[in-house]
Amino acid sequence: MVGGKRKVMRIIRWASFAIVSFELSSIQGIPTVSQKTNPATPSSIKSILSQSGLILAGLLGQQAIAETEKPYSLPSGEHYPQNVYWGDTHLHTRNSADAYSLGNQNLTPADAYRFARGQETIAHNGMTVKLKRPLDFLVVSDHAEYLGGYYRYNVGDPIVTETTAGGQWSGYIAEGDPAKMMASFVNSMQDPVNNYPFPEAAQRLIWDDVVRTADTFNEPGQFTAFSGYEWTSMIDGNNLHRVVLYRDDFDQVSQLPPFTSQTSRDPQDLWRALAKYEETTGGQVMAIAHNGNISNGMMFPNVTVDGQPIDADYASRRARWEPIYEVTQVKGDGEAHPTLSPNDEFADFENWDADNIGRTEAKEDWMLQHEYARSALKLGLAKEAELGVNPFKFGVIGSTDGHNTVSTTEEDNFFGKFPESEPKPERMTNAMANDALWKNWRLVASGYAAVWAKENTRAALFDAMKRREVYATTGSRIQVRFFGGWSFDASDIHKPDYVARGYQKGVPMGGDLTQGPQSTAPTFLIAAAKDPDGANLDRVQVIKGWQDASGALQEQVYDVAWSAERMIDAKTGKLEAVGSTVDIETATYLNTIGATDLATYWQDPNFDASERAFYYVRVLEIPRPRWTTVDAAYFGVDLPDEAPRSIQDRAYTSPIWYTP
Amino acid sequence: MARSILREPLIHFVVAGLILFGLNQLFFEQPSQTSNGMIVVDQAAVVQFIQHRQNRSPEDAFAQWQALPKSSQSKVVKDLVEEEALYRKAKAFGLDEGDYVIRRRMVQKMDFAAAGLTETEFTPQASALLDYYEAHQEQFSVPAQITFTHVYFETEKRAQSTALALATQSLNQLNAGKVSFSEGGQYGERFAYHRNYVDRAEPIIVDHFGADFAAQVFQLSATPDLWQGPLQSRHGLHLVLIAAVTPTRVLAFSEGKAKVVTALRLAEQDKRRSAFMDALLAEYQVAIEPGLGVVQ
Repeated sequence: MVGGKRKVMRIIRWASFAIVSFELSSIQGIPTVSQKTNPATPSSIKSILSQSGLILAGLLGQQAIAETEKPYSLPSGEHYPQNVYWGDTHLHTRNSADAYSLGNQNLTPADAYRFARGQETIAHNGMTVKLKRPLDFLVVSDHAEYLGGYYRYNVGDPIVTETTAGGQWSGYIAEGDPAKMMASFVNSMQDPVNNYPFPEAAQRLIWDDVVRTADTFNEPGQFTAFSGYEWTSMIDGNNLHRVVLYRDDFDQVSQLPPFTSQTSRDPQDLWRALAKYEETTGGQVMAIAHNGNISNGMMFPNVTVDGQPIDADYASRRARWEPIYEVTQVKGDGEAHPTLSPNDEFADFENWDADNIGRTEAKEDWMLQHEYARSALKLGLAKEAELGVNPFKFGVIGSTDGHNTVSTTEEDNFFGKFPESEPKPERMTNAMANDALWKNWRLVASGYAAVWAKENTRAALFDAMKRREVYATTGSRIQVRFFGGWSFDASDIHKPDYVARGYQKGVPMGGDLTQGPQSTAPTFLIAAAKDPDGANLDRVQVIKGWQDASGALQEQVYDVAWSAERMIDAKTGKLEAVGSTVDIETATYLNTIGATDLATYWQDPNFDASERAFYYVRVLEIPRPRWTTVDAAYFGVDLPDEAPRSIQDRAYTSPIWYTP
Repeated sequence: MARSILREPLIHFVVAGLILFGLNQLFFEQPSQTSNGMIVVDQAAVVQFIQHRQNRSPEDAFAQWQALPKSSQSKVVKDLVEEEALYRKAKAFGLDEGDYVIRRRMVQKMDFAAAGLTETEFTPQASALLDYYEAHQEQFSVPAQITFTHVYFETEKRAQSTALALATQSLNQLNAGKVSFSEGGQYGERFAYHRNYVDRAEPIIVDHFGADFAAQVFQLSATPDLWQGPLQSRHGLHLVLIAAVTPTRVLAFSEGKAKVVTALRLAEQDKRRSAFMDALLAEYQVAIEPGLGVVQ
């Protein structure tokens, strides 16, 4: 018997060494090489050509280009992004310590990519699950702290078992207290002295595996798999997490291991680590802040984590490293809050505003303005006036933050966050993380990152994120174009080439307007089309934020386009509601109300050229049954009283800023 | 102690097994040479399996089992049998015993070892890669892609015949004037989705235009100087200028070699794991209550 045990242990150890050595062998192996030499070549030629085209266009004007230069590739004759790509920048696998502890013990990054590409997967609840339409890109963003560690510990991988942390965990298990091992994930961030982080050598071996897997599944032109991780900073139970996202391949990304919150919980140190990566490797990287709604006022702060007022240096580094923000995800929607925006009848939408992620402190009203995107954009204007730099000049994307590896956002195909919130009759009434956190009916089937880019490659998508030409949806594939400029005509939006006009005479979402002609208000072109497989559209709104002459921050929501047969009430200024076709019993709805697409020209009616401002677009769908309603009908169970019966899924664009 | 043993699911299992063993003598054919006893699968075992694995109440587990289609039931039975065999093997090697969580960990360790073995011994020969590539061409295919622009006429607010007349007139104009890809935007009407589709595969064309349009447009040839159509979509009529159609193709071996290596490794891993599982299961008799499913 003893001999048998030894033999198995030897096999297990040998096997785990084998995995590592296999992984090492494929460092020099074909995936990396092919990434470098094979499919990238034509696209980089194309992108160099189109970039030089852009520069020339700037010098000579569009006409000259059209007449003098026949582009190498016919379609790239259009010097602007023509495709919107859909993806998820925030997803976990068993490589995340919390996901593993809470039951995701089998699904790997490879499974995440396969599922995102449309392959059927068996979820933890035993059901098969498949996306109706595959994703175009994915960031597997497992927690950097003990990345891959719990799984590898469990299977006896010596990379982990022979670390000090592994020894400590064995001690907990020998004492009959495996829960203590699970707690070390969080404890190691608060107290890395007594909860040992992995040594760099172990981190690097595991990181190599993660990065190589991303390279293997990255197929330029077909599907983009980004390398990434989540930096999991929590201070006093407040969530300051950031997803770190790389533009590069293995050769560069593998040069430095992930930066963990065990090393520092200060975002400024994360930015230093990102700067070091770029200096060391010549690559590019960015951070995407987690939805701020469980940060208890720390996500868009007035002060640093040390309590110092934020200064111009902080502001410029934040804007540099965090060009986009996760405005919506499974743990709540973070665009606006009814307390902050009492006149916005749609602000009360899937908000999570009870406390912080550690559930250590209840929410207080003062915190909200430092947590929601709209108020953060406004605070950014005030900071810019004060410091000369806007720290919160971010575009927006949505993502899931799913921890069960299947990225799902559809109301009628929603697989929850952890295995415990996968479809089953009791998932609406149980609570997250073995009943430690919030009730699972609160989960939001949200969201997606939509990216306007020329092609589906790491470089093209990353660059689009960097220039903020991106938008968020709460799970639908609503298509939105948004241009701002000084000289759009009302007729431009009705032209078949309105997109070309948008780029010629203005800037797309994420862009800047400065120095307009005297006494002219900015003009905008906006076009939204329903998700072809989803609900019709209720309305399109422009949300303007500005700092007035007195220094006060203001906001206004304008209804600018809506489906037929409705009026704005002269007394209230409100557009009549679109109504509802939702049948709660059967969890169905009909597209007999709303519009398939809405497009409009809009000019700011209250523009003051001396006031800094931003504008973004919100598109609302007609109501459809919320996932909880779908569950109630499917399983024949009661809905929790508090759960909304229907939902108006929506899109938020990145803003266009006006700076005097 | 005695009480807690009585509550121990494995004991229930063994007792149920002994009962069924008797039934088995009557009803089932004996599997060949086995040495490590019998794995008995009955309804109670299946329900308990779901209950433990998914942390659910017995009632919910039972309801879930009943709701599963036959094929999924067989999958559950197969998982149960494999888990039990792996668990017994792990126990036989003297790994720890205990609650269900520990049991799952042991099973995962065994599984890891079984699959991991393949990776050590896996040093793909060029010929093996080529053979695999040739035998699994479908795994290395690239979907068809199309690049086109279109001039659109809506048919919701106007009669089909009017739209058709407009489109036909416009088609002549476009071709007579040799209107280029990027100039097409000056004709027709605003379309809700894209005007140009660049290197896109069929699903997005289906999504934006409907399946009929997608099927038709992929049938057309690339004619960069000739506008074609009109084609009908669920929105209206479209004149198309197709810059390129790349049919579905299989990657050349040299292009796809990285994918071949990955695919062969995974296939090899599956094969070794199945072989390990087959050998392991050969050590047991498996008796499944009739109607519960089959283990292939």
